[in-house]
Amino acid sequence: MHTTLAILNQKGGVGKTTTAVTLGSGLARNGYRVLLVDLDTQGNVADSLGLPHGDDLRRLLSPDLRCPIDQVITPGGLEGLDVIRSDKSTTALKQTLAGVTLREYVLADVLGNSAHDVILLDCAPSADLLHFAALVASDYLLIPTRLDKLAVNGVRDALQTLAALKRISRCKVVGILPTFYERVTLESHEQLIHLAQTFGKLVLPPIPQDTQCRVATRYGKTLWDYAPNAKALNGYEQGNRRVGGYLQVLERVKEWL
Amino acid sequence: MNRNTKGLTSFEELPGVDPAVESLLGQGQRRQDEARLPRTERSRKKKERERAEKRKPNRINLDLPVDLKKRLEQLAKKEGVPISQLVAFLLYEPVTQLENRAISLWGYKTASGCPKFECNLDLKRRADEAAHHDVSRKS
Repeated sequence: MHTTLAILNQKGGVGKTTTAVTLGSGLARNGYRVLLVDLDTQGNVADSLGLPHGDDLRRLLSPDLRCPIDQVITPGGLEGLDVIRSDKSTTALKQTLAGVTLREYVLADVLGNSAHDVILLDCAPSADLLHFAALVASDYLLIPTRLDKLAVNGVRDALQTLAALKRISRCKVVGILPTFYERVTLESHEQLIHLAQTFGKLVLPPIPQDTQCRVATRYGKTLWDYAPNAKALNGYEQGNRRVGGYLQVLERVKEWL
Repeated sequence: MNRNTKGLTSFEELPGVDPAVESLLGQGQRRQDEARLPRTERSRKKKERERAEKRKPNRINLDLPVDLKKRLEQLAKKEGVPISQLVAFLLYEPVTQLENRAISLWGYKTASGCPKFECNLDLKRRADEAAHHDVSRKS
């Protein structure tokens, strides 16, 4: 029995793929069998892991192909981490699926056969068919957001989409993850307060803004491999403890599984 | 968004918030408050922070028996000195004695269940002996 976690925000550039890749590889390092599914036509999950692009998603979901899940999975370069890659062919896939009946269930159906412990769905920043299918297939929803007004609006949109799918989705929001947090800027501070006032305990410890994330992506490595001491992983030092960062978020995710 | 008189959002009015988020917001709030202080006050705070930062490598946490901690607190208060300095003052002599083998931990060591340490020290025995020594000295 696996747990499916969708990582979604209708705003782009908020750190969805970085979050999915970092949490996926972090869970795999902790002994979980993880399947990371890229639902974005940009195929950035493959880039982040140093893999070539591939049409795994199209082969898995396309009604005329429907390859079994174990035939489309690509090893993620780390023990316990498998990937279903995406590329431009996903655009054609979405057009094909538009004519299929019960298309919102297409992802839930195929992922039901997965032998993994955790499935992470890295969604595209648009309210499309795969976006809805991801929410129907997921147990939990994690919403990364930058600390600016537009991205916070994206959180609201994601929650509205989830509410609209209430009848067919069992997905619950488990966290809103502030990313690109700069503790020295007033705007980040204000927006974090605003988020916390609006969503209370749903707001997770923020991920510090860290150039190492971009550099790690350039080299096709995970943060755990490229920069294990990165601020984005370990958070801020506060007295004798660390606050924020993916390491702390990973512990929260493990509690949900 | 609630705004206080200085135009900043007050985080104190938040409902249930993740403790880690709360602590970061608290730190942010302190920074913002500090930024509004007069220059002399701000530089004093900065120096205080730097001094505290410098002391950090010399700092250790001690788990003391409750009664010993109380006695140290009372002594420090009576003498009007910081408790950490009092403890450091009191430690010099026994540390030298232990280094020179004038005193020994023999007889106080008990097996430890913790993989990190071989032994624990029987502090109760040490406390009883100190009390007994004190009584016999007075009599």
